[in-house]
Amino acid sequence: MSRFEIKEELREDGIRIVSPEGKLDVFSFMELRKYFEDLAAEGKAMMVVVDLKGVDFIASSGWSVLLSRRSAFRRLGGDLTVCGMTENIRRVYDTMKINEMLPVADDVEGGIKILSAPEAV
Amino acid sequence: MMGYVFMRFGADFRPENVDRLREKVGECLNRAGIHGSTNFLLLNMMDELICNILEHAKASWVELEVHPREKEVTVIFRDDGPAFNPSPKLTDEAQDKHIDQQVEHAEGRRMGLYIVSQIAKEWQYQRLKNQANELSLRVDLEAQEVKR
Repeated sequence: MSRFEIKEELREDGIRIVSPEGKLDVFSFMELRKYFEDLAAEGKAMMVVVDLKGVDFIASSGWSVLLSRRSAFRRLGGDLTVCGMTENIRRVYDTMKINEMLPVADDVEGGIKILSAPEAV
Repeated sequence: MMGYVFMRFGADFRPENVDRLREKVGECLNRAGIHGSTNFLLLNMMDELICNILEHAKASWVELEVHPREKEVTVIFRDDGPAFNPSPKLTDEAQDKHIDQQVEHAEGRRMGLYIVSQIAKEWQYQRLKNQANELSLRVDLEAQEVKR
């Protein structure tokens, strides 16, 4: 099995569910960045939920891709949120105090709700 | 909490080596009596520093000491890379001044020290007589629990 993989599902309502799997670290963050850059290159307003349930480690480089891509999507009128963090990864997320910059939900449905009502974040 | 733990390693900066190293550091923290999400949090902090040392400083060896106490743990890194004192940057990051700019422009390459500064409470650097760097970080375990 590859050390890091990205799966995706495009829903009928246009929301894209992106599911990375493995370790999101200094060796793999460029794969996720490239994936998001290719999406952004379409120039459309993308609504993306990143489901992290298959990710067992996120280093600073991984967090930064998620944070910076959210900014990029918002500039194009879209948005990005994350969900499905393990307890361990949630502990790191809470410690970083980035909840306002990168909204989190428990699961995909919660992530979709956040995207549907961003003012509630 | 158990007694202090020491490990010394040298590793090429390759994914399989770093993965193995993470496992060893996690075991090292377990042996020091640090478990669960606190283990994982400290592992994240240590991973940022170890990757910096191996990737940028090209150190041939790194020593790691973990000194657990009742409500805190001190982690000491030593390496034979070029002199590098991260203390001023850690102090700056701890004040949370530049996180937005880092996210916008640095694409992650500087956020590692931000994470370290949010987990450790105090840090101290010295260049040793044997031309090694020594960085000591104190983590307040009670404060980390309160942050949750």
